[in-house]
Amino acid sequence: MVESGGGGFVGEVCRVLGLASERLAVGVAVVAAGTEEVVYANPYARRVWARFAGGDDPWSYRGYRADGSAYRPEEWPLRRALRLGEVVSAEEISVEFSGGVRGVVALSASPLADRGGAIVGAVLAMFDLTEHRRAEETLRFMAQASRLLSETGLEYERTLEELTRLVVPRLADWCAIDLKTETGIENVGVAHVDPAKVELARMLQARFPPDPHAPTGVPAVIRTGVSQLTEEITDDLIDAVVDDLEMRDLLRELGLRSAIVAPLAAHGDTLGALTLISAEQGRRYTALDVAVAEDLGHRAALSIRNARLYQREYETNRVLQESLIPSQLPEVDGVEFGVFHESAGTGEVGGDFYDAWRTGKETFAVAIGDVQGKGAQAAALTALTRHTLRGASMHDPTPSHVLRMVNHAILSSGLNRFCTVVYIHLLPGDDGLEMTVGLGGHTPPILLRSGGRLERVGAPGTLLGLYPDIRIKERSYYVRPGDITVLWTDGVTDTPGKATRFGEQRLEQTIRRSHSDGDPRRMTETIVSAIRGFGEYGFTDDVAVLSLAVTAQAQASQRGAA
Amino acid sequence: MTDLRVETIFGDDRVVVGLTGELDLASIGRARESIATARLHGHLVVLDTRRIEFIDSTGLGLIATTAHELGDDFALIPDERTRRLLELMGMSEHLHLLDGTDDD
Repeated sequence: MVESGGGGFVGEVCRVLGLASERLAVGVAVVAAGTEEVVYANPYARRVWARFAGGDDPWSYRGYRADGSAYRPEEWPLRRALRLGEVVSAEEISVEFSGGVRGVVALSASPLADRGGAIVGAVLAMFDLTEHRRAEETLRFMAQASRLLSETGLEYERTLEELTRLVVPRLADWCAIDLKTETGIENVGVAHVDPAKVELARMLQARFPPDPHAPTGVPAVIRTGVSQLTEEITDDLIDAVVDDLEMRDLLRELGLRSAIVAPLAAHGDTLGALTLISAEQGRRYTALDVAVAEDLGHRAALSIRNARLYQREYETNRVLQESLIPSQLPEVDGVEFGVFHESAGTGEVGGDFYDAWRTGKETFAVAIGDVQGKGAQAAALTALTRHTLRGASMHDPTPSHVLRMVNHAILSSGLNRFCTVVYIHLLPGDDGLEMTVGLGGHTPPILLRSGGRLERVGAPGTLLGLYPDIRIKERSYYVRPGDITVLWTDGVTDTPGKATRFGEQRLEQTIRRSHSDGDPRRMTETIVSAIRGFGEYGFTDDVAVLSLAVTAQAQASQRGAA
Repeated sequence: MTDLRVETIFGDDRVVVGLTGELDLASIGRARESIATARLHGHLVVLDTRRIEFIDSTGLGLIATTAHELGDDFALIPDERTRRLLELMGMSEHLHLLDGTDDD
């Protein structure tokens, strides 16, 4: 590069420009026609060139327009000024150098013509927009990242992995997120524009797992909650920090340039670390970038924290929910069940339950119930009711005794809630089942006889858990193959439609017209699809249905046994 | 689904809380608040459900717990459906039921 041109017109221009532009915050250069030699460049222009001239050949660059199309050599502002005499005014160009360094410059060019009108050179003015555009990009990026993090659901690890892909290549060439676990540090995401390099990073991670006591890097940041900025990653630095020779070579090969490790911190707790590494793009991180990384880390930590709280609640609810229904129904020769249970879509644990269990060698019992309220307290009452039903029926399976025991158990529990229960005790007979029904404040079940006659079974009794003295009446029925008994909770009849509720009349009609041929599964399915079809708002309450029938095989097996 | 309307009449010796519409999980909070306000008055609290179009187990639960807590200071003027459900739940004999025409 020639600092000032020799003689002639171009030299004169250089001298005048040199005096005027030495301190300008804009790059000014003069290029001679023909040789395209830079005959003058002010300090700003020299700094811009030095910044981009990271590679061996500073002139092997490519320029791109905003629409992504590349500049052909003759399309650059300088060439247009030199060859066509065109005056180019502040064209914004994204420049990428062979080393991968990127930047944004605004270039202006103006031809220099001698007295005869021949173009002898050009003046080039340049303004480095890299930082401005980067700041704008960062703002846009933060908005996007916040949106992503705000949508974090139960699977927050997946959101974090997506976040690493959002970071690359805008904030970094490499991005990794590591989380603190009970046993150490776990990587949840690595991103690089080149998938092969992501594989390499995974391999490195697997072969050299982070030492939680390491004085630098991710473990240190997670331990202390303080960010680390490595402005310049040099070979000496790699040698000083990394002991393993193979690892040193690999790291050198990656061409790492600058790095930030920021904590994922929220509410005084560090949950993990965010690592940003600059390599190919040649970006050198500053304190400003650390602030951006810390902000991002904070937002990520908040969303992890929320997701974990939600996850814990979800898990608790799921376990409680599972306590509402038996994990498996008893296998009783010749008896079949059709069951359905679904909680209202409120996310809270429901209060409806059903159960079926053996009470003796041949006898068994079924129950369905509705506990007042929802949530953990209701679930506690459900568990108490189910366990008392089962326990009491082992000693004395008659409905009057069993329901009285449940009433007593709830009253003395201090839960201050009540429930309604249907309890049915079943004893196999020669050609069917002897069924004894007790109602604790619950709607009487329906018995559909094989001939199509519909009966309501049981006599009204007092609900459980409210009054010390209750009235329970026992009623017995004999059911044969083809008869189906249906028990349900009020979520079925209370299902709201367009103008009215499903109601008991519609339920009776549905059962009468079910064509279930004595199959309790088909009966339950018919009822559930009827309320699904009727309901305008989905299930607004918990719904439980239990159908029960004696199969024809029961007769055979009973006779065979007799 | 229609809303629940609550009308409270403060009399000399009683407070009548009249409900119109649907008493279910969605509206139970408002009914509960109205009853709590009526209780502050310190007289007999009468719940009038004659203009109720629908009542679910949550509504019946509110009647049960209020009656339990207030004892003799609570009475109910039920609609036909509520009366039938209370009988089914074995609660009628434990409640002070009024037919809405008598004075006590």
